[in-house]
Formats: sequence, structure tokens, C-alpha cells
Amino acid sequence: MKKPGNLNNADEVSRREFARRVALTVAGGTLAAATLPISSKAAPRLPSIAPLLQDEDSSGLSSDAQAEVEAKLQNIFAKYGARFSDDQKKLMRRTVTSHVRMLEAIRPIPVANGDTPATVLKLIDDGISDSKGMPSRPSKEGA
Amino acid sequence: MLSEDVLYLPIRELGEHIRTRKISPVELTESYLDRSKRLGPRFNAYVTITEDLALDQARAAEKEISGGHYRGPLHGVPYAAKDLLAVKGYETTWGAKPYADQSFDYNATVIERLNRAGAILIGKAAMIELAGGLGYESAEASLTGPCKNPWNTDYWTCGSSSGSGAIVSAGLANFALGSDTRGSIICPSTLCGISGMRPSFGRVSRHGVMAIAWSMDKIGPMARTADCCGLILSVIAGHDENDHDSLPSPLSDFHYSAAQVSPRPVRIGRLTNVFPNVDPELHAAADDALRILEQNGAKVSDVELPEGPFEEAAELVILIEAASAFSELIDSGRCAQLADPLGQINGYASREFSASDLLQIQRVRVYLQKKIDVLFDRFDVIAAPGEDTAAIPLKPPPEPARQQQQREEHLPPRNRRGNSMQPDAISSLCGLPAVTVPCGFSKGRMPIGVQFMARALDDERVIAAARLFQQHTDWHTKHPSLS
Repeated sequence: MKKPGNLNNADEVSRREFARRVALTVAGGTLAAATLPISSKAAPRLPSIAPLLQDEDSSGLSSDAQAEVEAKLQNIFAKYGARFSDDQKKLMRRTVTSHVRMLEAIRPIPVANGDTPATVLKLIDDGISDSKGMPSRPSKEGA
Repeated sequence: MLSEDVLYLPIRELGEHIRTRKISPVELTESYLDRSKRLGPRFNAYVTITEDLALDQARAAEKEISGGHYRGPLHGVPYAAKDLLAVKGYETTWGAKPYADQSFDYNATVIERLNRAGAILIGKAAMIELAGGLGYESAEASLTGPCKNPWNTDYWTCGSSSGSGAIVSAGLANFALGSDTRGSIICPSTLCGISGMRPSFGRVSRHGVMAIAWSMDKIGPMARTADCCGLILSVIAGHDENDHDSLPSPLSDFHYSAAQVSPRPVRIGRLTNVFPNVDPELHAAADDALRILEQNGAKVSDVELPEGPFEEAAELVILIEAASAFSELIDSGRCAQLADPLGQINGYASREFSASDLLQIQRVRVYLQKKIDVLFDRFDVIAAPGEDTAAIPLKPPPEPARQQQQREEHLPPRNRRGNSMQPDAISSLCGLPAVTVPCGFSKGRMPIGVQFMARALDDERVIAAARLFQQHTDWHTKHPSLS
């Protein structure tokens, strides 16, 4: 199988280098341009995984992240507070804290202007498939 | 009724008996139905047994085969479908109380394809509610109660394709369909001691299937052997214009032949940094499996999964997409009817993610795809233990010192901590194919497995590696004693 063309030029990146890239996010680098040398033995590891049901407290979260947790909870409870028991509100806090902790692992990763999200508009394949020598639109099925 | 030995035959062998009319599809279906009705309740394996449909299909198959019209190896073979696949004329509950009376007036595309292949639908398999789309904490999170492992009914099957795992393991149907957003085929297949396959993303249509996360949902086979999985995939794969993410032909097609021979030895990467905190017996069993492959021509060398926030990215994609997929349930407040405490509230929390966060995740996801893809320049497949545990007890012992550990052991793989390098997060996030096959038993006599993953669309490679292993071992022939 021929691998997708857009992946052919992927640079192999070591774990340590990847961690370093994340650590250097604040410098404003980009994914495309981040080809940093592998050098630092002190390169930080990526944040550990925060599972959904960990007994979450806000320790380890930045003050901004803690504020985000509170803001999200306020928003949820303002809209839907009447739907929840006290126990559910406690579980909600753990859950939202876990969500924000996961976001904290993703947000620092630098992306360049041209880094396309995995979710993109896919064109309807009528005609397109024909032009590539693929079979034309198949008949409907399953409906 | 046919003997248990017949009911546990792999598809190729069973199909040959059907083609040569040594086994009647009607008698075979009646035997599986009888067994399903007798043993299914013991495991909470089914939501619905589709007896009338099964017998109609069996009689039609018998008539066709007798008349010389043989459709292929699935013709006359009974199977079960996870109850998130629409089947006209029957309820499709999604395993959840809010949808207990739901039905559709059409068949899911994969059901149609299996109909065309002459397969016989014997029932709708139990599942975790909403396939765990809004989260869950325990096996109780199911409309039909906790699904029990046929190897020991005090143990769970894993989820979310729980019933599919139990049904195949107990020989209640020859094979089953499951769905896998993140691990929901691989985990129950491994813990039930059967072979299960998650195909490449986009290869199998999800039309008529409950969505959790459109960019991660996959449908795949759970069966006796990797060869069975290949035969089933060759039937259910293929482009479907009704599924927005269906790959075009010929990419989505899967032509499978057991006679296919690799032009060179299989190159296997043994993952050394996955599941770091698990019982060593799991790694030992997987290593033994790789040694057998090496003795039979494979080239095995060590490799590490690349580091990155695969876990977080996979989990966040599921949370965000599921909150949209189930927006009606959340808006209406009917998520309160779900059995699981987390499922009741998680959708509200997931709605608080921002659009910019979603796009950041999806942009990072492409980068993570590239990081894993380069591994496959050196390896045809990468291998790891099938799961980070053997089957876990439904009711853990009560020692207080073990409370936290017990609670986590009872979480689905998505919700556990500690084993940060879980290969299913990476392979699910990136749409890679994977196969798990049994490779031994734990000290507690529960099945354990080894899994193979490959580059996207290299589905045949994971099947080939697993087949090679199964050609030289007999773990896949073992099944629980249910007398």
C-alpha cells in the first residue's frame, strides 16, 4: 500500500526532541520549523496522562488553568445547575479539572499557519473519482 | 443439535462444510440459537435474539446452496451484531435506557453487505451504553447489565463491544461485529480470548451505526482467528457514499486471500515502552509470541512508540465529538437516565471545550500521525500485549488498601491512569489497523493476547502477522468449558 503523500516527508523526531519542542513552545516556534537538535539531557518529559476519573484536584494546574476550571464550572452550573445533585457537582468538578489538565498537554504544542486540522471538508466524490481512474459513484446501499 | 466442536470451527473450515453440504445452515443456525438462548443469559450477552430473521435467512441460504448458488465463505454462517448497528424490524438500543425502544427502518450498510454474502444474523449483542461515548466507570453501565466473561463469569468481558466478545468466546455465534472508537474491539477480544480486528479508519462504512466520534469510529470483526477476520473484512469493507468518511474505492476495498504470501520476512517492531506498569506475565506472553514468529521467519527488533500527547488527544477528540453526537440527549436532560454516574454528567462538561481547542487538537493530531507513521518505514507491524491486564473481576475484593487500585482496575482502558503509553490511544487516534489474538493465559487462567498494528490501510499486514502466529500455535483453538 502506498502511504499517503502528505506523510511521506515526515521527519522522524525523537521522544526527547519532541519533549523539548513542547517545552520551547513559548518561544513561538512552529511544528513545521521545529527541527531542534537533540542535545539536552535535562529536556523535560511531557506531562503525564490525566485520565478522566483520576481523583482530580487542581494541584499542578497553572493559575490560569485553575481559573478556567472555575469558569467552566460556573458556566455549567449557571445553565444546568438545577439538574445536578451535590455528588454530581463534585464529580463535575473532577471531570472538568481532568478535561483542562488534558488540554494543558495539547495547547502548548506549536502549530504553523499551514498546519491543517485533521477535520477538513471532504469534497463530494462525484466525478472526482472518475478523473482518478477510480470506479464511479457506487449505488446507494444500506438505505 | 451440532456438537460444540462444530460451533467453534473457524469460518474457512465451517464454510467448506456448508459449501459441500456436510453441514446444513438451518441446523447450524438452530444449534447456535439453542446455545444462545441457553447460555446467553448467563453472560448477559445479548440484547435481542433475532430468531425469526435468522431462521428465514438460514432457510434461504440452504435453498440457494442446494441449488448450486454458493456466495462465499460467509454463506450460511451465523453471526451477532453489536446493538449499535441498525437492523430493520428490530430494536437498536445503543445499550442505553434512553434508546431502549429505538428502531430504524433500514439496515446498517455492514448488515446489508453481510446479507448479500449470505451470512445469518442471529442476534444483537449487548454493549456498554452509548459504547462509552459519554464515559463510564464500570461494567454496570449497560442496559442489559454487566457482561460476564465466559472464561469466568465473576469477571468482566471489557467493553464496549462486551456482548460481541462474550458471544464469540462462548460459541453462541460464529463471529460478531463490534465497534472500536478507542479499544472497544481490541480490549474485549483480548480479554475473552478471541481474535479481533480494528480496520483502518474509513475502510468500513458506519452508515446506520451509532456515532460516538465521527473521526475515530470504526466497525470490525471479532472471530476465532485472524484469518476469519480477514474473510469478514473482505465482505464488510468498501466505499459507501452514505458515510462521509468512507474512503473511495479502491482504497476502501479489501481483497483477501489466505494464499497471499509476503515477498519477504515480516518485519516486526517489539514495542518496549508500552504498558510499563503491568503484570510481567503479559509482556512475557507477548514476547513468547514474537519468539515463535521469529522462529518462523519474522524479523523482530525493539522499538519505542514515539512520545507525545496521544492519550490526551484521543480522549479529547472523543469527548468533544461525543458531546456533539449526543447533544439531544444532553439538551433534553435525558442523559440522567444513563446507568453510569459519569455518563450522566460528562456531556455537560465536554460542551465547555472551545472551538479553538478542538482545532488545536485536530492540528496536533496530524503531527502525531506523522510521528507514528515513520515507524512503519522500518517495520511492517509493531507488536505489544493485547491489553494492560487480563480480565478483571466484576466485584473486586473489599480490602481498603486496594481501593484505589481496584477502582482503576475496573475502569475501561480509556479511563485508567498509570500506563500512559497505551498503544490503542495512538493507533485509534491515527486510524491504524490492529489485530489482537490470544497468546496464553494469566495466572488466574484468564486469556491474554498479543496485538499487531500497522500503517494505515496496511490491514493485510496485521492479519498476515497474526495468521503466521496462529499457524504455529493453538491458543485460538481453546475455548471456555461451558458444560
